[in-house]
Amino acid sequence: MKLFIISILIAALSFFFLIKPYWEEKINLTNELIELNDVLSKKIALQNKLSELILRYNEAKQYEKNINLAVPNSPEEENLIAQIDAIAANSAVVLKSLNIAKKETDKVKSSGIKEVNLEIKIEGNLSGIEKFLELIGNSLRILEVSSMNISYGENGLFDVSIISKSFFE
Amino acid sequence: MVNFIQDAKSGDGKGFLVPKESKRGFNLSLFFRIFSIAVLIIAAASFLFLFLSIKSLNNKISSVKAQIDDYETARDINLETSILNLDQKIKLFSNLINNHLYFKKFVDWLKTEVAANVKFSNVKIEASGTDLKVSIEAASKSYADISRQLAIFSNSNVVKSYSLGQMSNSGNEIKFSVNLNISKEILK
Repeated sequence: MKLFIISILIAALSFFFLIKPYWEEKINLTNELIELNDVLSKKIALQNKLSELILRYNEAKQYEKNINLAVPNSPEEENLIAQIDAIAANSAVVLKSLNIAKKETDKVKSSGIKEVNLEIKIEGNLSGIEKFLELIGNSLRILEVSSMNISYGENGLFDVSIISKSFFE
Repeated sequence: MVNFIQDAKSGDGKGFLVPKESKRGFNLSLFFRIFSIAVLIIAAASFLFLFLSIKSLNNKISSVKAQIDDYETARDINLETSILNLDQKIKLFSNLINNHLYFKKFVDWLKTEVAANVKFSNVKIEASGTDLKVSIEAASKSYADISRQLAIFSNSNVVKSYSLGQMSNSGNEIKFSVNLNISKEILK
């Protein structure tokens, strides 16, 4: 009987001071392991995605230079003037006036892109005007025409006013 | 366990063997002893099991943490930033290119839409929303030419709507104006 009471006492003490804390620790550690395994599997998935992205990045990197030319990091107004002057010369039209105004519009602010507004006036024959519009449309630095006014002049040439915009980051 | 006794009543001295009844009582002391030992064994076994489980879990956690650390140290933050920047640039560029309008295409289209004896003196094009708003000032030799011009616009699958403005006859020619709403898609 004495042995029985001692055994029960030892068992009870073991339960409260050893088994119960160890059991709780085991549960905590199991939960921690589940969380860590979850983190690890996410890391592995991310790593796989990243490896894929790095491959695509290396492919896309060759176009980065062109993208920077299309949408430069600054207004680069001097390049814009030179470019439009060159387009006019290549199209055999007279660049009568060119006004540039920087503007950060609300519409595109969220994407971080800014606009340079341009007002271009040219004079030339129809084929020259067509060539000018073609070169503007295919310009590496994006020039987006928003409105255009073509009028046939007394001298047999066309006067064209173009409202356009270019972009920078 | 079984005792055998000789039956004295048989008389021939041979007798026969019968099992002696034994007393079987519940031994409480033995039960307590066994139960006590069992309780101690279970307690010890539970403790051992938990101890080994915790040790194993700790090893596993250390291993997983080490793997996570390996992934973290293998990361190239600069490269990831470059990728994100380029990705943003590509998206931006794609968006601009997808919405890019080629006004040369409008001139190409308009050249095919002019009726005989009609001359366009002023053409104003404005991109707004999904449409292009076009205002044309023109001159013709007769009202029939204007009618033919309007028929051309009417039959065009690009023109969404058109409206004829004022017409004035100066003697030599008839001046008129037309407003068109055309799909922006022709400029893409």
